[in-house]
Amino acid sequence: MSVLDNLKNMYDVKLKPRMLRTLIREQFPDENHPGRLPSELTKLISLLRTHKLLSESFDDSVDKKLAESWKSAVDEWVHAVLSLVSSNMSNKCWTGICLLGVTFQECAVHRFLASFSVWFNNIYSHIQPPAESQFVKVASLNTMSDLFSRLDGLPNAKRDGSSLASKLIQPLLKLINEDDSEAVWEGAVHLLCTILTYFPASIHRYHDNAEAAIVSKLISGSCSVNMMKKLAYCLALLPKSKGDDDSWCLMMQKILLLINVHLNDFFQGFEEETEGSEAVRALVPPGKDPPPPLGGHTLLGEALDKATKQLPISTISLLIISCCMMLTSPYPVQVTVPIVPLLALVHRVIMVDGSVPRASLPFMTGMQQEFVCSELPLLHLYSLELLTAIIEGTRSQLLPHAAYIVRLVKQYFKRCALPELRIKLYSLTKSMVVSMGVGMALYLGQEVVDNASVDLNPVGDDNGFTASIPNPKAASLAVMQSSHRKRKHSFTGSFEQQNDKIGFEVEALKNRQQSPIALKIAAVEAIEVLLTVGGGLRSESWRPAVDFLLISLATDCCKEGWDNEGKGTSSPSGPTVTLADLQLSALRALLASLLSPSRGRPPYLARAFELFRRVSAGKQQAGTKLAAFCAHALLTLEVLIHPRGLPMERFPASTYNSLDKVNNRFPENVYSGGQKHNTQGPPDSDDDDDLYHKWVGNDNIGEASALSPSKKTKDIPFETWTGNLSMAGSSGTKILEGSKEQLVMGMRSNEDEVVVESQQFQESIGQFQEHVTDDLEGPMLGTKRTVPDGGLDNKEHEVASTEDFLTDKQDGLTNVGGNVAGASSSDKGKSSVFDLDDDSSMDSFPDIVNGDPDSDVEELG
Amino acid sequence: MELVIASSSIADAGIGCWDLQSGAEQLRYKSCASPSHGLACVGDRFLASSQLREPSSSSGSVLYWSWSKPQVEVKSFPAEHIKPIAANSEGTYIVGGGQSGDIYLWEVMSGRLLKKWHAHYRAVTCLVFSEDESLLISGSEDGCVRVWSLLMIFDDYESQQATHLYLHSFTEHTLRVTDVVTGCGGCNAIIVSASEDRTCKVWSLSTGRLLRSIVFPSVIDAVVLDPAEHVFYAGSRDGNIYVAALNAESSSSSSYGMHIISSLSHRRAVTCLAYSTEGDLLLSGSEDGMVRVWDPKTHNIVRMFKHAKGPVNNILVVRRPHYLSLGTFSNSNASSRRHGFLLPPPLDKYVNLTDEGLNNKTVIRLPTARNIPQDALYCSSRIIDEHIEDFQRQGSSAAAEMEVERLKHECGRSMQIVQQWKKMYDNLHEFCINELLDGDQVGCTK
Repeated sequence: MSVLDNLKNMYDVKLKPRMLRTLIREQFPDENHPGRLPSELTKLISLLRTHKLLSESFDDSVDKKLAESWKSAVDEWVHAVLSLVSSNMSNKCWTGICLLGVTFQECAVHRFLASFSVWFNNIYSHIQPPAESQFVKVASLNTMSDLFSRLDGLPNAKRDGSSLASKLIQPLLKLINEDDSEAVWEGAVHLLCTILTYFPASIHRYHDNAEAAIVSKLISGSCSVNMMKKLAYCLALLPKSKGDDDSWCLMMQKILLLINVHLNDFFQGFEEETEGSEAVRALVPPGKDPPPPLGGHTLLGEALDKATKQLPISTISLLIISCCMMLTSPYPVQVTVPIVPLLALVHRVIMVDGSVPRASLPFMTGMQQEFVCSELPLLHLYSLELLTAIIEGTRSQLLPHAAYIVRLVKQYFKRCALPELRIKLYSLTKSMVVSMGVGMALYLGQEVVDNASVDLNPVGDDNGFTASIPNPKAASLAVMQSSHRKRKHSFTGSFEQQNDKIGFEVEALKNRQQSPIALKIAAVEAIEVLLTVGGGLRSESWRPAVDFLLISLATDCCKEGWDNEGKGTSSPSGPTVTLADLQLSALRALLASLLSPSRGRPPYLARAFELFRRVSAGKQQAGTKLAAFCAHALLTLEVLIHPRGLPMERFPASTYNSLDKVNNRFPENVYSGGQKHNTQGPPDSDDDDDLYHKWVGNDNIGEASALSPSKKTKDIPFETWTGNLSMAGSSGTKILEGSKEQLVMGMRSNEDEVVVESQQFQESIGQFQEHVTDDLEGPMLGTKRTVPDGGLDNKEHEVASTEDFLTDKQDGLTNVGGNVAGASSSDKGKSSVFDLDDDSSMDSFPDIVNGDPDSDVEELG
Repeated sequence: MELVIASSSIADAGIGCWDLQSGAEQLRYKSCASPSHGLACVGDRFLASSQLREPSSSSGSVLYWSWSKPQVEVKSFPAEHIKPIAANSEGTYIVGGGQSGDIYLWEVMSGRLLKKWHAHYRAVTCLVFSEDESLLISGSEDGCVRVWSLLMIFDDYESQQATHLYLHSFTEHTLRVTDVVTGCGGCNAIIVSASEDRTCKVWSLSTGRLLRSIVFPSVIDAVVLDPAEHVFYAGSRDGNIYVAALNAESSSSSSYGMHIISSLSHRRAVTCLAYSTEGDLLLSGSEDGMVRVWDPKTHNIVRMFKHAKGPVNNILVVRRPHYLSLGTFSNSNASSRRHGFLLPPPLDKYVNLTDEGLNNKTVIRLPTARNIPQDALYCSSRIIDEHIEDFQRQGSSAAAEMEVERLKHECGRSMQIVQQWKKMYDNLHEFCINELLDGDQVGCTK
C-alpha cells in the first residue's frame, strides 16, 4: 500500500472494503484451520456490526472505484459464506448459516432483494434432511426467520415472500411433529410465528394441520415452560392465517371450552357442580353445535388416553396464557370477544381456594386436596393475568362489565394472602384505575388503601409508625392482618416451591415478619396510581391516612440508609428487588400525594421537601435513579409552591422584543435598588395561603410591569417617564375602594394595609423597609390588573396611568423605579425571586400595580 | 393536519369539511339538519349527527356518514327525539340526550342500546365526556348540570343502593343550559357551563362547588376553553366572543361579578365555538353561516369558511384520519374498506335484554399496527451466542456431536499428515540410502 492509501480516520469509507477482505482472509475457517471452533465468531460479528462493513452505504462524494471495491469485497464475503453453508461439515455449515443470518440484517437493501431467493434455497436445503446436526437445524430455522423479518420491511417483495413461506410450512410442521429435540421445535415454532406475523396468508391452507401440531405438543406436556409459552403464543397467532372475525372467535371458543371442561375434572368437589356446566353453556348457547375440539377430534382422544384422561394443570395455565395473547396481540380486523365467558372463567378459577364444601367432604381424599392446593396458586396467577389482558384488550368497552370486575377484585382482595398473588392483584388494580380513570378510582379507592396499609405496615415495628396510623379502620385491619398471617403460615409449606420459583426475596430484617419488598412496592405503586388519577375526588375518607402512611413509609425506608443500587443482595438468577427500589417507589408515591389535589396545603410538605433535598444533595447518591428522581420531584414541587398562571404568549399583542427593550432601559437603577434594601429579612411565611396569593400576585406583576410599559416604549422616550408627576398616592385609595367588589374575598383583609402602604410610600424609603411584609400584600392587586389589561381593545387609558405612575416614582424615589425593572426581569427567571435581595424589588411592586386597577375601575365601573 | 367540520340547522347545507391549514374545502356531506351539539366524530372513523325532526314525528333520528361518501350511509331511529350526542374518543360509545330528559348510551360496534336512564326533568341540551372519559357531564333545559360516573350507571347493584345516580348535580342556573365544557386536570378539572340566564358558571369537579359565576351582557350559547385554561371564550347572542378570566384564584364561592377581559367582535350572534390545538386557533360559527378562524393572540380573523346561508350550529376540529390522504376523499373508499372501517349497524331503539348470546359478547378492535422494535426481530445473533456458549461449556449432546465430528475430521487430517510424513520419511530414507550407496560406489571406484 502506498502512503496515499493511508486512511483518514476510523470513519473513512476506504477502511471498510479493506477490513472486510482482511476478515475473510484471516478469520474464516478454511482449509488451513479446518475444524477450529469459531470462538472468534462473536468478535467477527461485532466488527461487522460496528463498522457496518456490509452496508455498502456511502454518500455521493465517494469515488466510483472505491464503491466498486467495496461491492466486490461484499461479493467475496457472500461467496465465502455461501461456500461455508454448502460445506458438508456440520461445523462449517453452522458457521456459514449463522453468518448468513447476520448478512440478512446487515446487507444493503438492493443486495438483499437481488439474492434473497437464492439464499432462501441455500438454507432451505438444510431444514429438510433428517440427518442434519441439531445445531445446523436450529441455526437455519432462526436464520430463515430473520430472512422473513427483513423481507417484511420491503414493499415489493410481499408476494415472493408469501410463496417462499408457503413452501416452508409443511417441512416445519413435520419438524414439530417428528423431530425429537426441543431446540428444533423451538426454532420451528419461532419461524412459524414469524411467518404468521408477516405472511399469515401463506399458512391459510395448513391452518388445521398447524393447529393440530401445536396443540398436540402443548397437551403432551413434554416441553419446558418456555417452549410451552412459545407454543401458546403460536396458537394465539394462528387465527391470523385466516384473518377474519370468525376464526378468531372460534379459536377463542375452542380454547375456553377446553379449559372449562378440564377444570370441571380438576375442581370436582371444590365448587358447586353447576359452575362447570354453566360455564360451558355460556360458551355454547343451547341449541347450537359445539365447535370441534381444539386440535381436531382424534388428537385429543389419544392424548387424553395417555395422560389418565386429564391434562396437566400447567397446560391449562398455558391455554389461559394463549387467551391473554389473543386479547392483546394485533389482529387485522375487529373481533367479537366472548367477554362474559372470559370473566366467568376468571371468576371460577379464583373463587376456588382449596377449601372443600361440607357436602362433598366425605368424597375428598387428602391427597386430592393437597394436589389441587399445590397447583392453585399458579392457576390463580394466570387467571389474574387473563383479567389484566381482558382489561387491556377491551379498554373502554369493558364499561358494562367494570362493576362486576370491581366486585371480583374486592372479593379476591379479601381472600388472597400469597405475596405474589397480591402483587399481581395490585398491578391489576393499577391498570384498572389507569384505563378507566376517575370513575374506577372512586370505586376502588377505599379497597386499595385498606389493603395497602396492611401490606405496608411491618408487624411490631419498633419505630412506632404503625401504631400511630390515624385510620379508624386500623383496628379491624389489624385483625384482618393477623388472619392473613395465619393463613399464610398454613399455606407456606405447600407453596415454598412456588415461592422459590418466582424468585421472591423475603427480607428477614431483624427477624420480624414483614411483607416482602416486592409486595410493598406493588402496594405503594397502586396507591401512587390511585392518588394520581383520583386523589382529589371523594377521597376525604382515606386521604389523610394515605398521606400519613406515605410520609412515614418514605422517612422510614430512607432512614435505614441508602442502598446502593446494583450492590444489594442480588442473586445470579433473574432480577431482584432491593431496598433502593422500595425507596424509589415510596418517594414517587410521596410526590404523588403532595401533588394530588387536596383542599389545603399538603400536611407533610416540609418533611417531604427535606427528604427530597437530602437525597438529591447527598454525595453518595450522585448518579443513582433515586437522586435523579428527587431532583425531578423538587422541580415538580416548585410549581406547587410558585403556581404559574400561564398566559398566552404575547397576550396583549406585544412582542418579546419590545419586552427586552423595556428591561434594558432601567439597568442603572436595578442595582441601586437591590443593594439598598439588602438588609431586609425574608417575607413572613407563617400564613401559607397568603404566601400563595403573594406568589400568584408576584407572577402577574412581573408580567404586568413588563407588559404595560412595553406597549409604549416604542413611542415614548425614557425621559418622558420621569417628566410627569401624578397623584398616585391619592388615586391609590380610590382604586382600592372602587375595586372592592372585584377583589377576591380572601383578599379583603389586606386592603386596608395596602391603602396605608401606598400612602406611606411616598413619604420615605426608610419607613418603606419596615413594611416589607405589608407591602407584599400588594401584588394581589396585580392579578386583577393584568387580566383586564389583556383583552381591552382600548388600552390608551391604562397606558397613561402606568406612565404617570412610573414617573411619580422616578421623581420621588429613584431606587424604586429601579426596583420595578429589577422585578420585571426577575420574572423571567424564577430563581431570582428566591433571593433575599430581591425582596426589596417586590416591595416596590405593589405600587405599580396599585395604579392600574384604578384605571380599570374607572373604565368599567 | 386538522379538519374543520361544521353543520347547520338547515338541511340543504349539509356538513362542511375543510382543511384548516390550507383552507381547501373537502367533501360536503349531504342532508344534515343538526341541532346544537348534535354532531360528533366517532373515533376518527365516521361522522354522526342527530337530526332535527318535525315535532309530530314519534322517533328521533341519528345519521352516519363515512368519510368518503357524501350520502348518508346508516340511519337510526331512536325511541324519541335526540338532540345532543357525544362519542368517546375511541369511538366505542355514543351517548344521546333525549327530549324527555333521558340519556341513551349505545355501543357503536354492535348498535346495542346498553343503557338508558332518566337524567333530567326536561330535555337534555348538551353532553360532554370528561378528560378520562369515565364521567359524563350533561346539561338540561331545566338549568341543571349533572356529572355521571359511567361505571356507576352500569353497576346495577350500586345504583339501586344509592339515592341518586349522579356524582354532582349543579342547580344554580335558572334557565336552560346552553353549553358545557370541561378542562383538563383529571379529577381536579373545572366544568364551565353557560346558560340562557346570561351567566357562565365555573364548577369544580373534585369538590362539586361553584367556583365562579360570571354575568355576561347577553345570553352565551357557546363556550370553549383556552388550552392552558388561562381564559375561556364565550360566544354570545349579541355578536361578541367574550374573553373571560379563569386563572385568577377564587377563594370564596360567592360570585364577584366581572371577569370579562375583552371581546372579539363578531357582528352576528355566535352559535358555536371550537379550538384547534394544533394551530392554536379559535373557531367560531355564526348565524350568518360563516365559520371564522381567529388568532387568539392578536384577536384577528385569519380565515373564514363559508358554510351556509343559515346558522352554523356545530363546529368540530378533528385530526385528519391517517388513511385519508390529502385531496383523495372520494378515492379513499377502498382504502377505508381495507382498513375494516365499514360503518357499524344502526343504533337500537330499545334495550335488548333477551338475546343472551349477544349480550355475552363485545366487539373490540385489536391493535393493527405492529410496533416491535426492529432489533428485537432478529434472532440469529442470539442463537450464535447461545450455541457458542454451549460449545464452550461442552454442555449439550448436540454440541458434543458436533465436536466429535470435528475431532473425527481432525483425526482424519492428522492421519493424512502422518501418512505424508511417513512418505516423506520413506523418501528421505531411500534418498539417503541411495546417496550412501552411491558414495560407496564412488569411493570404491576411487
